[in-house]
Amino acid sequence: MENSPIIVSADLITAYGHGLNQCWNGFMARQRPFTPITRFPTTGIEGVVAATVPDSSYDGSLSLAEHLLEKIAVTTIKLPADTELFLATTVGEIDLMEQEILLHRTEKRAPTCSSLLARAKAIFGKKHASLISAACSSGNMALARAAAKIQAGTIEYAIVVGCDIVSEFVFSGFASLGAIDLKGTRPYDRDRAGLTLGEAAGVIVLASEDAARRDGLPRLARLAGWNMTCDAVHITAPRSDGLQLVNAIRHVLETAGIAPSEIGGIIGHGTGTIFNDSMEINTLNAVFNKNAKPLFSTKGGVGHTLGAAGIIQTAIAVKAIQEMLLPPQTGLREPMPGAEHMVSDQAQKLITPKILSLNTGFGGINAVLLIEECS
Amino acid sequence: MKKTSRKNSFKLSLNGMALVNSNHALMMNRGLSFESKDGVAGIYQEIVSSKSIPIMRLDNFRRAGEKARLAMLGSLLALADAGLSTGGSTAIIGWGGEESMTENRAYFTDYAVNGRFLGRSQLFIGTLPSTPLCEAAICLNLHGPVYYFHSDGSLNPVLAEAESLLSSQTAGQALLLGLSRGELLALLLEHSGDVNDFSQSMQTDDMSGIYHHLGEKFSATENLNKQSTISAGP
Repeated sequence: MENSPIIVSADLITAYGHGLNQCWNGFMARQRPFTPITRFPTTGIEGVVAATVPDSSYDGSLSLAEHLLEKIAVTTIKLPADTELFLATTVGEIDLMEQEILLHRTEKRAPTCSSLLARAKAIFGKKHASLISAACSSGNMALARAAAKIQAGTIEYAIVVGCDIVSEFVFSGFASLGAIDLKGTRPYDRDRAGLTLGEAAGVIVLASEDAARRDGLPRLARLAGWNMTCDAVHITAPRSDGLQLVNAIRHVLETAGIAPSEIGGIIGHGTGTIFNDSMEINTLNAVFNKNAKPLFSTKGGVGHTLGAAGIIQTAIAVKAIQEMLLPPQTGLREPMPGAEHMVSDQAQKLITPKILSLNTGFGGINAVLLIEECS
Repeated sequence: MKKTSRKNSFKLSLNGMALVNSNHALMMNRGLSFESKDGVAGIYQEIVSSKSIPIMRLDNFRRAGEKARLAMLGSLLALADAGLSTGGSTAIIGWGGEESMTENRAYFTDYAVNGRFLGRSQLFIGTLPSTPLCEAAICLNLHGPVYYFHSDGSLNPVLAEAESLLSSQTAGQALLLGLSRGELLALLLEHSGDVNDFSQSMQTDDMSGIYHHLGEKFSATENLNKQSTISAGP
């Protein structure tokens, strides 16, 4: 795609710790940094695990999401003050609302996604900021919207931030839907039984080609295509044949002018739930037919980080293109039917330096990105 | 570098507009107004009974919450106002600043007072800012991008967002669904070759004010001033 933006910086805080390399090394070692939830009671399902960020510095005086943003802002590259900030989150400062109800405490600000946006603006020192909330597709959606504005020449730089936390609110909700795997998620596994919640903050900085060259920034990869669709079928379940996700992928390939055979690997949404993973494998088989691509889900290691998921996937895509590898699938024992030639418990070579990153969310929201090596 | 969102004029045309609250619904181009004392469901029944516009079945509003009901009915009326019954690849952008705060509190309070043991999934589903938008997409079979957007609290950045989305041909048209203080404003927008003046930094929490402001600018004036009211009788 002409004038597609360059990824000039990628940083993460996940259950593996602070830094993209920390996260990559964790995936490569197939570490599962899942620990029993102690932050809140999990009555009835004691011992259930989550991928929380190990952080002894958090004292509870801020929302946890604000704390994570403060930490990641320290290592984010400095950009002009008029750089536009895009925040991807699903529940924002939800822990403040929990305290308000459980402790009968009155909060100074209404705890919402928008309140976290205001905090993010202040933390990153930016004048212009937008919230993009699209359920678990928020990360890819925010990257796509930022990329489109750079491509159109409306902005030169975009700082795209994704953040969500492991909260009692979200945990109890997913538990009520029967979507949690008590022992830890196993994306694309035959015996997968649900998701594991995770928390993270991630930052991707996008720049126009001209700005990246002019300002001497590293050209890590190119965000070469994007598309978003909605299944419009069910408020929680995906369309089982993945038709609208298929359409989104095909649109990305067409607008980028590349054939399916040129894709080197896929970072899927891969939540580990029965329905999501089944829909994704149906989708990938429909698009790539018998030319199966290496497939990897970040959620086997960092859990389902909701609004941060797409940011993590893009950061890992950058690293995967540098290493020309997709990490082994964390948590995998035996691939689910249809995924036998896609997922592996061993690292897989990328066929080409072009990766598709998929997000799917409640309501059937699909968002697809194409990340490729800079020529 | 070019600046964004600091303008009043956009390459957008307003093809349909509807305002819905628990008492009435208004359509800009059609000049129709529907009233009921039985909430959104009552208004819907009035619309069906009147046979004034073709309208699809909304069985019990898919058992959705109030915001989703407003979003479904408002979307349907905005499309009908533009002479459409469905929109294919139409995008839906939510705005208004309230997000799902009421639903979040309802879900978590219910969970907490019941011993923090089991949450109610039917309440949890409504706790995303994107839920009402997706319910509208399902209702009208719309397959374009769906997301909730918030910037500085005024309408202009939302219009700029729609302009950007439509000019990149990501979607053929966009439904902007603004929810605030129990009112939903649905704007059906299309990319336009001409620049149209929309606003003067209107705040997003006054949906009625925006409806009347935009109606004066964009509707056939005689329709807006002669809205025929269809109500449940005495």
